[in-house]
Amino acid sequence: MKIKKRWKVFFLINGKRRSLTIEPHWTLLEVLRDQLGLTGTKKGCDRAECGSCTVLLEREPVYSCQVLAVQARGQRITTIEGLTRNGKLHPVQQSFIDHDGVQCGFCTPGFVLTASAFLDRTRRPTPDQVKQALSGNICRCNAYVKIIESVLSASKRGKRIRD
Amino acid sequence: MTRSLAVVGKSLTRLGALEKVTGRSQYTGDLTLPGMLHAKILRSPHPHARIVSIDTCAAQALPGVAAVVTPRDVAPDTRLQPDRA
Amino acid sequence: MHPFRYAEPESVAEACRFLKRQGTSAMPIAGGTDLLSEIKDGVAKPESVLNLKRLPSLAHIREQDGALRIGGMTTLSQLQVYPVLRRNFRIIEEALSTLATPQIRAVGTVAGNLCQRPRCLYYRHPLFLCAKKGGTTCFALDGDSRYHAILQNDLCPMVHPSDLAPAFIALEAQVLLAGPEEKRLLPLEEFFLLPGQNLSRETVLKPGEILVEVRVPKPKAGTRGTYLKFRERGAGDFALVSAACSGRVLRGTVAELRLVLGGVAPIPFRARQAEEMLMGQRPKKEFFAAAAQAVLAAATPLSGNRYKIEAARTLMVRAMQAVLK
Repeated sequence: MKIKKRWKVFFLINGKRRSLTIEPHWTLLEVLRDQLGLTGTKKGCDRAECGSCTVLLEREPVYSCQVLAVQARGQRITTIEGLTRNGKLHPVQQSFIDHDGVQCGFCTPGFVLTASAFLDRTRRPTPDQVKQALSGNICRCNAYVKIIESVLSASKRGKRIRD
Repeated sequence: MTRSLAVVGKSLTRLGALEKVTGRSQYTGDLTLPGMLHAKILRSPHPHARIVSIDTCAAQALPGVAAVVTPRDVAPDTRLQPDRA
Repeated sequence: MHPFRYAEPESVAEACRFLKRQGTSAMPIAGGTDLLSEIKDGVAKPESVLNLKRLPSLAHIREQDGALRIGGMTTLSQLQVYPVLRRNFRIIEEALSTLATPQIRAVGTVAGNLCQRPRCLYYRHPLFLCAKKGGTTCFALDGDSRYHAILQNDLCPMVHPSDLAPAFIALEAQVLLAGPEEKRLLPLEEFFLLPGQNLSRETVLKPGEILVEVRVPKPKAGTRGTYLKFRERGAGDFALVSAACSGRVLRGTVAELRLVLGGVAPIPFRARQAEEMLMGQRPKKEFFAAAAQAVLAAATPLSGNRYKIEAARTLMVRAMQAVLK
């Protein structure tokens, strides 16, 4: 067993293999933003409460501010930059535009990713299920009604996206 | 009024919505500019105390530190004054 | 976050040996949702962190003769979707549905949930050297005690924050602990320590020991269970007070009852007095209220948490009504 101060790792980020050397105390959020320039993932509270930093780790939404990057080595990560395929928006992204689920937009990447993972698992959710699924994301503009509308509408588009 | 209105009565897409749902929108914390420095504020660890002196030597000696700024570095007449209104 | 070294052990034995050798300078990490808060807040300062989450031998869920064996590194979201939960282990399912947020459940583990540290604001604050952290004063006893214990609260009125612990105890779960030399199996109820037994730690874990498995026996036919929780926010919040209840009525009288409260004491609080009063009785609301009253007669609320008495009474009665019928 090696106990190291620096780890040479790779991640599968948005379908691409990215190799780099990291320090164990760096969070996944810090690696994504500061080392890889993926600033679509937002730093809000930095303590696993607001959900702005949500990314998908092996298709599940996680708070990247409260995950050690080194613990996620070798795993598949989807950030907001990876949700758009060949210039085509994910149905959840389109729905957030159509139903005005966006205000200042700072929480939006986190909400969109959480919702996309949820809709991958739940085909015809009830409004209550949507609220439960989004309960780990906070919108300071208080756009919740439109956000929930956006997700419900996206669920009716019925398009599932898989890696 | 025969001229049709371009905005009133129409449902419009929010400006910037596309950038926001794709994460391309740039917020202050996302910007990197040439020569940009980062600042960190050190707050008092005591809820009620008098500042007797400030020794910045250790902070100044850290690698990469450009400046340590204390009230001594600010001209007295430009300092924030207590609200007397 | 302050820097530390990091390692990934290849076996439980290697992890235990390393942790024992390093003492308090090394800390095990699972999902990290709790430990990383403590490190960010400057409350925990490990020199090295040992990742247990990649140990495949700890991430299982198995059924053995109807009993459930849950590896310590099973994530809360993996447990939540385990099919048999809804049928036989309703309390666990209900506790999980109120626990944290989807993002935390996706990385947080069962062992991590049982071993998480208290949420007391003074304990979590880097500038309060409280008695639990080796200081001389408990700031909560005379300070902001809104979220603190109403029972067994004389030394340190922390409350145990786990939602799973009361649920598991109501189901008579056992925990398997692995150490450098041996393994031991004990009831989860005996896993937790009161501040009077050990002020700085909350569990019986010895240096080098880790929680490797939770074993939940299959409830007898006709057993019902529920987990009820009062919290400030409707989602993603710890319990102000919670009640886990498991029981069975046979031929019109109470044949089995276990009632465990969260949020009221430094450990998950087993309301034995209520259980004893109701055994063999007919399940009637007046009896439930009297039993809850008896449990709370021992309460010693602080200046800010008297409301917890009423909340606990209400939850106990509601839980018994839901289960004993």
